[in-house]
Amino acid sequence: MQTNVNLIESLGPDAAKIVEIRFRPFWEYIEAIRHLGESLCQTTFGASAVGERVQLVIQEALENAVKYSDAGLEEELEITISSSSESIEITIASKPTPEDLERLRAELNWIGGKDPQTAYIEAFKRAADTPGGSARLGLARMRFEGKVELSLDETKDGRIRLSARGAI
Amino acid sequence: MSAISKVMVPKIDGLSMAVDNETRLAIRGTIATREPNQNIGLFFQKLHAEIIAAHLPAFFVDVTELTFVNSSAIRLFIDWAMWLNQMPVTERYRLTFITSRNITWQTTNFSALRSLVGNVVYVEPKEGASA
Repeated sequence: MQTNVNLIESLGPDAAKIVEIRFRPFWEYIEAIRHLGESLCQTTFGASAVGERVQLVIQEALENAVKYSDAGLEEELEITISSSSESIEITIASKPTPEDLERLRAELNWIGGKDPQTAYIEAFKRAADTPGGSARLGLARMRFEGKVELSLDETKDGRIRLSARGAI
Repeated sequence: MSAISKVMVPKIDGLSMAVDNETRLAIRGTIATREPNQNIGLFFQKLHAEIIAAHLPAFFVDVTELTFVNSSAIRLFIDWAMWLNQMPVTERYRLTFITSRNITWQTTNFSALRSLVGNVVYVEPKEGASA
């Protein structure tokens, strides 16, 4: 794994980056990055609940990014975790396949109009109604269990940045 | 020893599963593999079939030490509940998940599962275990 880790030890009142990692989309890296994110957040905020939420968001977001990376293993993914005194933000930059980008847009649109709990329970029903298919629980789970709001930025070269922001 | 204890438990890094007393499956560790349906899901499916064949009235799944799962793993629990839900009422067994109040994914997800199929799935929250 090629990593570029910038750890800012003292967080001021303004937003500051806690960590930034660039890596190839190997599934095996997800667990290591999840543990790192959880550990850094627990250390930074002194609250295991924040670390628990962060590891969930990292796992679900990176699973999607790795599964649907357009350029396969040649792609470079980037994850950042930043915080201010009141909020935390996790961003994942990747280049999905056009089909996945379409699915991602549709899913964000589907869950965006509902409150997080309702959206998650409806995602459960959808999974129950489609045995053998993809779970498609990840984004709704991030919102409900991770207590974050999701947004998507797209660039002309097909890269995207999925942001998950929530209160600390 | 009944066929339930003979169902082959898959070996997965970071995860241990064991059937105790023919009526309880204990799952410990984490599930974050890419396609858990291909091993853990098949194991659950065989276990479910043997529970039916043995005419057990109840089965317990203890997840109090299952500290983290991805959404593909959550799907496994939804699938198990749906297999049961699709059976005739007279052939069903009572499926109870023993959970930890201290592990967030368990409180949120088993509550959601209950809202979906509360007629076949039961949850017994316990204190003590922690993430």
